[in-house]
Amino acid sequence: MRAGALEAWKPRDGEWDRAAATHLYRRAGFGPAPGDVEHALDVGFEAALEALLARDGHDPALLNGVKHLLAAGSIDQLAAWWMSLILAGGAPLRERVTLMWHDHFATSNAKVDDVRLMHRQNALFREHGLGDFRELLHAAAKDPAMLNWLDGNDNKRGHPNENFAREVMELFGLGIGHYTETDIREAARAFTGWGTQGRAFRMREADHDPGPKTIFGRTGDFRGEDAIDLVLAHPGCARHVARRLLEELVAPRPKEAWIDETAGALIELDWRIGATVERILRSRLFFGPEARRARIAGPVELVAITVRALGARVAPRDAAEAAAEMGQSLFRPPSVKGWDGGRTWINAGTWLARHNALADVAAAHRGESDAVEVDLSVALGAAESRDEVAAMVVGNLVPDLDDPAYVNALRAGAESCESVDDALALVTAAVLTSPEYHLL
Amino acid sequence: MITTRRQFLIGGVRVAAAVPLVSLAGGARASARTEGDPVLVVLQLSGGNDALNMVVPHRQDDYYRMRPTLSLARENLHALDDDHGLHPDMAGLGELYAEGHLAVVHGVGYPEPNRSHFRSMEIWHTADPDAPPGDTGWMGRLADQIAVRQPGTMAALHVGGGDLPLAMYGREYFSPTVRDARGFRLRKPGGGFDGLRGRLLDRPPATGDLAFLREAAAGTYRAAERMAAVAGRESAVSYPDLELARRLRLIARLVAGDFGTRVFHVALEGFDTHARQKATHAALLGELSQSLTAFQRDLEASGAADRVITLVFSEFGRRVKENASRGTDHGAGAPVLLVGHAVRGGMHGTAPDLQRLENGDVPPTTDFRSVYAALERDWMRLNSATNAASLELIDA
Amino acid sequence: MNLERILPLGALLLLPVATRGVLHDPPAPIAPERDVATLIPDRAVFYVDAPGMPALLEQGLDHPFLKTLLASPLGQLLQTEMEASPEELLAVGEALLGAPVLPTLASMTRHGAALASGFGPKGVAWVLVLHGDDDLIAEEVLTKIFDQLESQFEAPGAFDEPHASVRGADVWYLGDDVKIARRDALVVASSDEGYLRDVLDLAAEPSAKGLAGRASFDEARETRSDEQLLWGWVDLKRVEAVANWSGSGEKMKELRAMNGQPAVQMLLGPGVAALGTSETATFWIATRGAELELGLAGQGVEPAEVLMPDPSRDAPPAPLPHADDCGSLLVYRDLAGAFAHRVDLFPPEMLPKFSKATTDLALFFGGKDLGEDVLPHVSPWIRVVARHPRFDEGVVPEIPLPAAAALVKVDDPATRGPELTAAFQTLISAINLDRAQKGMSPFVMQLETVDGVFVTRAHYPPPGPEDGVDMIYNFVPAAAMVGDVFVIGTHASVVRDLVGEIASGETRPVEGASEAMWLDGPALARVVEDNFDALVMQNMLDEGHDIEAARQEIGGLLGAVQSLERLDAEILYPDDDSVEVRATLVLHADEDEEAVR
Repeated sequence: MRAGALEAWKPRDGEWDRAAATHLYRRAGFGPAPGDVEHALDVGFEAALEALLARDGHDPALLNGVKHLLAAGSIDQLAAWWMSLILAGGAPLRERVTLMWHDHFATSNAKVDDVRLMHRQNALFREHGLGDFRELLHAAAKDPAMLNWLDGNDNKRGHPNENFAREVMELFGLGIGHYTETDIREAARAFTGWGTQGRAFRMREADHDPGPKTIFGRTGDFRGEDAIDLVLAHPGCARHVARRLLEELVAPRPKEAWIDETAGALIELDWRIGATVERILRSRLFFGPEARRARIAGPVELVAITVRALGARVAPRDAAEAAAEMGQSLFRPPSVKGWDGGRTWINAGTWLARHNALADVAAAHRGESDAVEVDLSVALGAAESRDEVAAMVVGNLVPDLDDPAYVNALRAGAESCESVDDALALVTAAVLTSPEYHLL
Repeated sequence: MITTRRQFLIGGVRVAAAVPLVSLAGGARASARTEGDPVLVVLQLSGGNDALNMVVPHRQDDYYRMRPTLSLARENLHALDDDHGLHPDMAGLGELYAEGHLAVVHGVGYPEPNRSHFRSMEIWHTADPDAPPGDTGWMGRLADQIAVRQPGTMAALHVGGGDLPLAMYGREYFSPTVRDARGFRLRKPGGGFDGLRGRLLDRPPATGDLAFLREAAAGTYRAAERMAAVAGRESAVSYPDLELARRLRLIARLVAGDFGTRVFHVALEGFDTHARQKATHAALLGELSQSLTAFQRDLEASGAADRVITLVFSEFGRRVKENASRGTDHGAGAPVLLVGHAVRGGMHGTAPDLQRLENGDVPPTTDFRSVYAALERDWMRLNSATNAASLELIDA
Repeated sequence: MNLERILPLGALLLLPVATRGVLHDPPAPIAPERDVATLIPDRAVFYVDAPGMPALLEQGLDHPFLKTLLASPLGQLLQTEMEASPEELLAVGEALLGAPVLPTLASMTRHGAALASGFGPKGVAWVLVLHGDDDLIAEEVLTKIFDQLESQFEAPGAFDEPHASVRGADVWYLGDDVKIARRDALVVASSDEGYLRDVLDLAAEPSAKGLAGRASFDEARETRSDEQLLWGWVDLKRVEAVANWSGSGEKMKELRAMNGQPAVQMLLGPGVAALGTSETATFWIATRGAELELGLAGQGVEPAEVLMPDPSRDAPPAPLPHADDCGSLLVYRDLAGAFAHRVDLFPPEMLPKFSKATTDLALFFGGKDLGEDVLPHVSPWIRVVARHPRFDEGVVPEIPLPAAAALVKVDDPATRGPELTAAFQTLISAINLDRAQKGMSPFVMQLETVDGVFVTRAHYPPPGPEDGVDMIYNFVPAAAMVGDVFVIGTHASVVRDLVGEIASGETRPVEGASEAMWLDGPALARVVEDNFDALVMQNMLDEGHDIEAARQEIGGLLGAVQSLERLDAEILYPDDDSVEVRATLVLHADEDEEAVR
């Protein structure tokens, strides 16, 4: 049943423009690299989308090279490694979805304190993130890092750990309100015996509470896997996943009608995340006004999109640190709720961090940065006069902004510069640090 | 359970993440008037200060009998009243006492003293010995109230390294940490940037997230400019070359420059002297006295001495009898100090009687919450975190 | 008074005065054997000369050290960095000078070359003095240089004539910044007119002493020898005075404060710490074959007497060379003395650290006082041996690292043995407690005997199949008391070997111990080799390189380390108030290449 918001978008003449292409690349990946948008406009919407979906191969040296880092035990290094995959852009949609699951199944190294386990969880999201959600939920629940984090290790017959059961229901599977406290207690009993041995999942039968449990009105000698199947069978689950996908790809606080439609699509597509995401990316909803500039960019996406858009050279370690200073430290979400996002990204300190990092990138054009190398004219174009600079930069960095006063203010600023190069650096700095740029 | 807050570092500033901008939102107008508003500085001595060797009851023979190697000779002390004297290395505070600007409140603590550093400091920070620790502290709750009254300013600030102390956690307001004056600097690529940035922000009002971001940006820039302007000023007084002095100097500059912050926290570490106490403790008390005196003189020179009170406290005192390693072990009640022109100088509370100890310790005779209440209600004119009656410590 | 007689007499007397600036006897040529230091004004605070320079210049690229360096991977790396080979550079120079570069320079510096600096009216001033053996060559070279300058600044003829004459020397002014003078084969360049004149004045007085006349300089020259490529001298006392006065004294203060910092004393030792107090310092570079020697010495030092090495205290034996050796060092750290005299040695703000250390470490020593009960019974001579361990449990860490073991002599082994062993066991227990709180497996302690000696060791249980082999598997801590030597190390295989060696007497006794260390180049190179891939990944992430560029950089690092055969260093005390640190670097000379040639 294809009706309403998820109906396929058929752009009329002129609708597949810079703004639309940029929107696609920024939401479905981490932004376009120089030349991507021009190419997309050349080949048309369908071909561009297909190409984006097909771009799914990381450089093996980078992907596999991580094994040399794990023994050293530095989570900062692992974060830098993940950032290097994001910046390289070898598999944009896959990394986007990996970051989404990292936030959804939020697990922090602050407690887990084990780089190998965090990597293993990250690899799980990368491999199965676009696959069948049912398999993903089962695997994520048994992931040793997750069990460590939620004290799922401490789950014994007679002392069931409700923490784990609660988060499986509330955060991962259903969302608030679809379960009762009894459901949680009973599910906790079902999960008894689950634990880890060293770095592997281990089921201890002796610790398992074998009797009958009643969950969501169904009774049986449920084990942990059964409890998860019950969560998946609950009508709220597909909606919860659908809501998550819409929050990530479309807008915060998605409408109920959209959620209904997307949940239906998810089930129709056999719980395959990749196919559902594709359905969303093709939709009128995705390219409609409600999705454009709908949310405040988070730190990792802000850093990655900016670095890629400008063709800048930054060490992945510095990029990951910049995002951490802005409030998003990969592998260290503040709590099991993940990063709340939206306006909570912004306070005095984080805005200062955003400002300083982005101003640094623009200043690198004049060689004034220690961490960044960039030639803005390569990415933004070679302007012939200072007058052209403002329109050029705006058209590239905030293409769907329709605000003549904004451009005029920038033009006036460009006039006061001594050279085209200076104007380019100044205008870029002003645009990057302006609130308009931080709306994704 | 996992903490629900994360802290991270930006240059010299640490700010908690995921925080609504209470302090910066609420109207585009500039910060509310803050000159003349009272300021509270809390100076924490970490480790358990041996206050018996700070405020010495030199008339009591038991002092000398129970501390054969650690006791201080009467003639070296700086006289406070007839029965007490200050440690020889605290000349500066001795002067302040003589001028009537130093108050000593004896025997401060809480019932059923806890000798764990962690737990006892937690009690002092949350002002709640009975309930399990919440995640807010008494200073943070003051900051919440200030932030509502004065949107657009930084209500409270933690000066120094390390994590934000529990005392400063508020329900809404999260205090930045500034290590030194160079934190909070704004990067400006090239000339003309300030003007252009200002023009981009100053445009017809927007709605929703865009308006929120504009407000946040404007507030941040204001705070950064003011911090830079204020922190860079010269001090009229020369401070000793000590870490505590440097931190207090930053606070003095911020106060003198009307930065707007009204609650400060700063700490001096190293007081857990279980062994070989004499030289170490003398050095620490010397640092405390010199730094605090310079701070007070600086405030006097800039005309701000009337509106700043400094509270000096530690998580517990130490045992009266010295131990076998020529040090002392964890104790219970101990005096706190208050410094400021508005303070009712002199001795308060019940002076320790070494003939009447409990378990070998000076028993707490004044509840610390009544000191807090005095500072919260009588001085800061805000609501207190506790129901305790306030001690008469402030000269209204 | 006969005016007619007085006037001519007066005129005669006044004649030298009147003609002084106008007509002066040309000064005598400078004696070839004159010490170039006598031509430097004695107000200089910094001086460098190159005693072995002429020999180096004669041999050019055939100089043994240079030859070995350029042939080594390190040399290849340097050359690729430079973008031009030494031969090419020499060819360019030759084109410029119209004569082969090296012999020309050799001639111009035959009788001495020195660079000095000091304080002048405009701040820091420098002066360069070259005393050659051939007037004509000196003249030619200057002419060529001036020609270049004339064409560069488009001022033809600007330097054809000297701009002034001072004490018989021709002087040219290159703007405000540089003045050049030449008399015979003496060439002087300086940024300061006063210094230039002083040099020329000194040159004109055959018996003048210049800087060589200063006692502090002359005494310091004992560290200078003719084979050194470079020898330098700094008057720290004077530099400090000026730095303080001009407000930039921070660095100097830090230097002077080194002696009073427990961290410096404990880590770098009393000798190095004392260097910070020197009145003057000298440094030098010398080569011998494929060896490079670097030296640094301080004169007029005020060391912390109590902490200085005492050769009469017992030093632990030195193990015989072992195939897996990475290096070894012997240091003198009188911790007992530091504790006992801490109030005198260190500033007040350092004292809390001692209290804390005592409190913390009392735990390991069963409540005994570290400063009074433990340290005085341990000899301050500590030997540390670094060796590649044998991972013979079959568990090889993914990042293998060398192991280290420390040896110290104790008095009364019957008491110390159990005491120190118990401390080791308590340490392991404390580590285990910490690991238990974090949900990690503990170290398992075992007792074994090696040659009749009890060795306590702790190992981490082997990893599971999915677990990977973490860094922690580099650590199998062990400790033992063998005879009167206490051995404690990070890996049991090394401790066992050392115990065996000491018990069987396969060691070298040590007399007249001095602080020294050595490092084995190939052993270090092995560490880089073993971890090559990890270093490449790290380089990619930290520098933003792609894999090729990262491999090149790490390859360069490996080559550089492989060029090193051995590094030796020693701290010496030539007399009561001087300290010397000498380091010798031996390059890896490829014997196969030699044979082929």
